[in-house]
Amino acid sequence: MLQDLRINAPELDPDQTLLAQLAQLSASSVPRRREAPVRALVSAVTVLVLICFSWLTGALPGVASPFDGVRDQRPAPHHATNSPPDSDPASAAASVLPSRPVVVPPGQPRTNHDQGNHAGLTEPTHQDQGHHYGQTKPHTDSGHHNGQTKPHTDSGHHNGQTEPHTNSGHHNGQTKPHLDHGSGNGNGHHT
Amino acid sequence: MTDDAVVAAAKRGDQDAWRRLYRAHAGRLVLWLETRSGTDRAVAAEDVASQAWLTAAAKVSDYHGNEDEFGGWLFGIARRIAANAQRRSGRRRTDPVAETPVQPIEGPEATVYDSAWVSELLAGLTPRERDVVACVDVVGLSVADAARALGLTPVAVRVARHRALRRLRRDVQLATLVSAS
Repeated sequence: MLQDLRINAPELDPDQTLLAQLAQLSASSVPRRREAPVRALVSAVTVLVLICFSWLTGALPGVASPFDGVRDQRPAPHHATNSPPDSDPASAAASVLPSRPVVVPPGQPRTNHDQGNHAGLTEPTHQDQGHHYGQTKPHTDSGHHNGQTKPHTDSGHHNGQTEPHTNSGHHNGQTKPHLDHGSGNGNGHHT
Repeated sequence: MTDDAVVAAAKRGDQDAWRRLYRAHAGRLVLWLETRSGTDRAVAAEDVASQAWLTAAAKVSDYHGNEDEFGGWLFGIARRIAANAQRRSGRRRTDPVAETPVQPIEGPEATVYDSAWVSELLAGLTPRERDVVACVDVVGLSVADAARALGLTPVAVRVARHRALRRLRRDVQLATLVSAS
């Protein structure tokens, strides 16, 4: 079978023009650059820059921005419209004014019973009033809350929650139904 | 892998070296392209072969090996050029008719042996088996060079060749029985 398939190809002589072209092209041929390591380096640097930018802006889930401590020392403008159901002026004033501007290291769980700013806390061990950013567990306190992912049973402003709440206050950007309006668990504004 | 004297001279632009490489591989390259599957009828094998030679000369700095292994590298270039031509022809939707008068043009590849019977014999194989048999058994490339030309591993080349030859034997036996009856 092998001998039957074999064809003795004739020996061809190249045309002189083609030969000149081959010689010219080969003389001007340059080795191709190895671009794979360069591409890998550029990709790695790009990813690193994106991660750093996300960290600085606080976009990474569970990791607070290093600028949150500085930013939280300023009074939040949303407190002026806060209307908690309890009419206690003392508690309302406590929830409005950050009386003790405590700078909390980002991402460290603490047990607090105070009023202040809390950024990137992951444990529900707070019973205080103040600003809260990026918590992932429920809180039983009052104040401003941004980016929570678990339900809260408190009063105050809430932005970007993904679970239902059974409390009173302002709520923006909820994705689950709430049982507080008209069900006996409180009233509040929902957008 | 180091270059031998012929390849090193070809890289410097030596015409004698290119003439030697051309004599060693040009004939069987055209032969292989004619027996290959998926070749566009509107694109002649000689055109693909010429383009492969020019591309090989332009990229010869990237090649490292000896004169014999140059064939596998050259066949790989020709395979990619033929695939590109096939894709272009698919977009153009060319449909050459058999009645078109053909004016034979004498060229350096005009003396290539007519391989129509080989193509007919290999028509019952899968495209991969056809390429492997044409590379190894028709034009005489080594398994390693055929693997390099087709972008396969040597093991895959051996397996495809084994299956193809077994199928060819079965078809030949069946044809013999039919003709005898």
